[in-house]
Amino acid sequence: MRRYLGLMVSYRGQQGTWAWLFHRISGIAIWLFIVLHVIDIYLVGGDPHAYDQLLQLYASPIGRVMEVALGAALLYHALNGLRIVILDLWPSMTVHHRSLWWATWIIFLGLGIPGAIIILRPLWKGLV
Amino acid sequence: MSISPVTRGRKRPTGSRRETAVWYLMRVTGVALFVLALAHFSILHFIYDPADQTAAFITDQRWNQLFWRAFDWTLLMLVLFHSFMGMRTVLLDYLHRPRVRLVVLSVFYLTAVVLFVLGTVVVMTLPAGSRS
Repeated sequence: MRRYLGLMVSYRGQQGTWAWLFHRISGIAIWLFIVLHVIDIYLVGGDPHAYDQLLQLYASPIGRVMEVALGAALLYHALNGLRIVILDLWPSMTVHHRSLWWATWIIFLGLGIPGAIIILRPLWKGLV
Repeated sequence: MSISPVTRGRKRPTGSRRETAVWYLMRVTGVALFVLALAHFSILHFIYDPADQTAAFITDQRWNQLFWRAFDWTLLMLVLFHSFMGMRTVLLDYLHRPRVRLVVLSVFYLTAVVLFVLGTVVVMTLPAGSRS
């Protein structure tokens, strides 16, 4: 752990370190949600009433904020993952690596902001 | 674990064929998940609202079609492989003592198997709803 923290402090001015850190944090967050999500879907068969109650929690205001966070983690991880795959499999794209990094963020915001609005809209419409 | 200075992803391993296979499979499943997981999220969070997704919604509107059961089971297999192999990389980065590694990874892989069984059982055995 200290090795990586040290790396982060000493390694300045490159986008890659942030890409790596965000990829790791979003990946761990998604993994945690996957564990929860397989169990909650199992409840549809095992205990439908418990599932419905859990869904009310997911649809609550706090649940929706976490839903946006999950969506953000998923979208970032997907876009940055694609960037990694492109650079790994086509090394000639390396000359464009900075453009790819900025493209990741432009697409992230371009899709993420409308997505967040759709998920949070019931909050200001007074539906939840 | 060596990291590429360009992508800051894992460098392609050399020496171990198994590790090289995992490295490629992470990329293949990653691209598949880019399409399938983002489609899954978009359908169930933008088209449908979580407030409507009761257990009856799943039996009557989602899993009354074989296509969506097959889609979700494919997604289950891809995401369990990708997320558990990804978390394995994270764990190996931070756990160095052999005995700790063995114990933690054993419990970790067992969790993956249990989740695979739970997910497979529910997607294959849940009775389809009335509107099928």
